[in-house]
Amino acid sequence: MSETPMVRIGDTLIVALQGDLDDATVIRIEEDVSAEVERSSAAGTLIDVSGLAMVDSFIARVLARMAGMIRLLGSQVAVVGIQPAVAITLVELGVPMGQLDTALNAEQGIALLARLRADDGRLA
Amino acid sequence: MTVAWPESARVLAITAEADLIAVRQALRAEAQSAGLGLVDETKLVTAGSELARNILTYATDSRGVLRAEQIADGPRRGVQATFSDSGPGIVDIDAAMTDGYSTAGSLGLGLPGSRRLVDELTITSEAGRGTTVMIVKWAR
Amino acid sequence: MAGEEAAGTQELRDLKAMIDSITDYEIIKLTPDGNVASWTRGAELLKGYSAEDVIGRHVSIFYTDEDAATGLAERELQTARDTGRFEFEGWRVRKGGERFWASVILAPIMDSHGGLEGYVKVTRDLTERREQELRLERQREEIMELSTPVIQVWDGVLALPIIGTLDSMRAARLTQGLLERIAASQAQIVILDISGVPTIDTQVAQHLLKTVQAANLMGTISILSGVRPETAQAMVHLGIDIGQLKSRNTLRDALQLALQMLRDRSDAAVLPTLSAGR
Repeated sequence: MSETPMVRIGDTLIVALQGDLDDATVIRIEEDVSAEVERSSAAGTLIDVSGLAMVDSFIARVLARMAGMIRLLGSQVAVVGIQPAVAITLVELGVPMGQLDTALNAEQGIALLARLRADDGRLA
Repeated sequence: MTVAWPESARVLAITAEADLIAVRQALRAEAQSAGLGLVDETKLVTAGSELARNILTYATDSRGVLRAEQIADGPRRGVQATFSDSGPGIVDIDAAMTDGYSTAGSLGLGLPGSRRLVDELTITSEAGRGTTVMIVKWAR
Repeated sequence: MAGEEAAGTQELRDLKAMIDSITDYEIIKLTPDGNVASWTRGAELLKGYSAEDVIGRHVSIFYTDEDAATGLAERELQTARDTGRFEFEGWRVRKGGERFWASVILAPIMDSHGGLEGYVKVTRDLTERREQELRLERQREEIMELSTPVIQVWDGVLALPIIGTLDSMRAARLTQGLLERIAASQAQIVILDISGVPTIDTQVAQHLLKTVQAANLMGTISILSGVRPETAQAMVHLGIDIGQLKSRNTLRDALQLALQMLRDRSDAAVLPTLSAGR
């Protein structure tokens, strides 16, 4: 049983990152989420970062890597709730985040996951 | 004239990745004391996290020190944070300040990125003599 | 000898009378430990304390509780000792607890042997000047706000008509203001109208593109509008590539595009997903 709190709503897995995360915790979250996506065959995954007051280059890279992993496991993935101060800082810092699908909140995130799934279906 | 308060500076050892949280918390507290807004506080804390990470990645024995203190220039308040280590030093500071430069294999975004997040960034380094990076963020 | 002494004493009395007559400044003497050693009419008017209230007490009674707790007074005295003079602005407290913004000059007094005899402290009330500065600052901000208002043009669509030149400070405020409005209204689309920006140079373009990047990172789609032919030419000339950013000639066209995007999105939400699980 993983320590990372995750919630299942319909066929969407939601994980919330919050507080001050050290590297070990970030890596553990990445492992736990990947394992859960695989175990539950979640169609979509939302990573909620509205509780993060800061995202440095390490956390940003792990987020991007985690998203890539989740997609490989067959689930759509979106990051939701990036705060304004965090967004401005990440852009200024220059960490490339272009591959990440993002939404303002969980509701818009779920709609985004549905669109991604539809696009996937169309391209197939 | 810039005034500092050396006796009330926070000094932290940076020796393990768990220390990054202490670094962030110290800088957050200093930012709030100086009256930095949320965006400036976030930029300062993030820059600090990057610079502390550099110490863990590049310094000899991955050891270094953070010294964070309040500064003032007339009514203007700010935070000054100095990251020092006794590592191998940076041979070419100009190159290190260019986006994409790295000697350790990962994206070398630490210094130029951090520079953009703060008001002042000063590097003192000599090959074999260690590196000191001082950053300053003023409240608007 | 007696005559000299008498002349010296008279000089001192004249000096004291002169200092006493200055009532809009406080000029006092502190002991080497920082205790109040002299008091004037000006000091009484400024701080509200009478001489017997304060003589012998430590200068930190005039500091705010937070500053006194961190030992600010001692640090300022130390700086004066180290550098020969300390000039600073900060909050001070009158009798009764009322705060005022003060200009303070602290200088050490050395005796003929080079030892510290005490300090002279000159304090002036700058509250009015500071209030005026704050008023001006607020006015400036309001003017800036008026020239860069974020408008909700539709449910889920924000527009930011940028008028005038963009320097770093203004661009930073703009970006922050826009992103905070996006967060507050959870807007899906934001239209940046630059028809009111006279010249697009590399710096302005960079500010704009960073704003767009940050909005996109949060999850909002950005549309650029008001790109005049001259602006387009200038941007091509400067090698500015807006990449994936959508652009429209007028705010009206941009709004039409935005509404179309919203319609497409709600259509997509209504259509059933045929895949069960994966």
